[in-house]
Amino acid sequence: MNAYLRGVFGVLRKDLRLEWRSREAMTAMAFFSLLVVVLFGFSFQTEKIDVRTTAPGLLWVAFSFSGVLGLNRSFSLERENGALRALMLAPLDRSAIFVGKMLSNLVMIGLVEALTVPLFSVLLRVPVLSCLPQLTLVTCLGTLGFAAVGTLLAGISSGSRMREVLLPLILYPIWIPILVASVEATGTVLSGKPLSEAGDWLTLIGVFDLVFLGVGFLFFEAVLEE
Amino acid sequence: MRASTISRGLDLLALPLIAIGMALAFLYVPGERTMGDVQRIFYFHVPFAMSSFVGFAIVLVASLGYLKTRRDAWDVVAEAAAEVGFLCCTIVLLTGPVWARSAWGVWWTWDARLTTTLILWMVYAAYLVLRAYGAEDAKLKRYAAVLGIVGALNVPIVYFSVKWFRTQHPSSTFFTREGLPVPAMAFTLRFCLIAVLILFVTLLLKRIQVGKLEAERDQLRYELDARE
Repeated sequence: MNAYLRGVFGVLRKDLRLEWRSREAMTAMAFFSLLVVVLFGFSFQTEKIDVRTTAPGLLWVAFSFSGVLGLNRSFSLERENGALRALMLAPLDRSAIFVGKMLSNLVMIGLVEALTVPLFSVLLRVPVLSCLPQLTLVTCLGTLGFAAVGTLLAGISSGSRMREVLLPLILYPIWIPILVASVEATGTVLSGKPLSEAGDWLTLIGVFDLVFLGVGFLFFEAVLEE
Repeated sequence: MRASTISRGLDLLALPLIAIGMALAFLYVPGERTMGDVQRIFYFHVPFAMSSFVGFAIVLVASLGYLKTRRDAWDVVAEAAAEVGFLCCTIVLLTGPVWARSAWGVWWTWDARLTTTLILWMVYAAYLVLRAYGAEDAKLKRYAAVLGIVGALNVPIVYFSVKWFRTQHPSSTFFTREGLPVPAMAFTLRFCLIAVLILFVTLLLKRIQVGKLEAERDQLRYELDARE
């Protein structure tokens, strides 16, 4: 078990170090996130509508769009120079590679989200400070599911003929249920209601998180074998 | 040989059964009191909805079977079930709004059950997109199997979570103890259910045969290339 965890952290450390040295993926994701928020600001004439009702949806759309960039990057790097083969040759359980990559994606997407929320709050004038802990919890839970199913499917799309183009096409239909639950829970939290009112939605996100983590854990091996 | 005999028998059975089902739904059964004639669409809407769920169950089982045994037959079954299931799901999404327009006054609402079906349809579509855009042969089969499992597991959770929330879609009258108000309605629905399921199986077997022929063609082409 200890060796297993060392494998997981090895993969996680490798991915984060790689990203720290180039900062390519994070920069692209953060800028794209900002663009989505700004596009929203322009295209929906936020002066006239009540942003409060549309804010949770916007936030999660920005997360989903920028998240896909990060997921794609996480595997396109591995396909360069046969890095994936080297990773597969490492004496690691394949599921450890999944968990490691899932965690590195979770960290990166989470950081971008942490940058997006203040921008979003300022630009669209949605107060978030008063409910920050609750918002963080909801975001973490939703993003965990996104990273879990996203890492598994990014492994698939990166090996297909269409590569990056394919990922959103296969990911979003499966991601919609968590998206709906996350948007609802975020809406509850942003409107200042207690977290318990979003209990059903949080349970639903939790169930999906567990299912997707389990499926990734079991079947990532089938995606990787060459 | 035997498989094709069964398949031919089902062919001969499916079309007359569907025709009789149509006749029952349009001529025999009395119109519903409040909804009127448009309610008759329900005798085909419901069976196709159930068939599309059956399709997803087959995709799940066949995908697991493929990953476990790596036998191409499982892959062919999964692909066939996804295509036929997708067709059924499309029919559900087309017939539903026709009824909704008359009963609710709108073609579409973001009602829980409607949303579930739309998600189901999109998951099927994603699966078929992956297969169409493709990858190397052996990889594609593994990828499709994994996506089939993820997508199929998604569906029951969505379906049951829907029960937590209010839905304006009529409940599954077929399975409640009271059943349908008029025996003729219950009979027609059961008849149509059997007819559509037989049609589903017929189409599935046809698509499996096509899949086998495609595999054979690929194999022949490969051998031909190797000889040159």
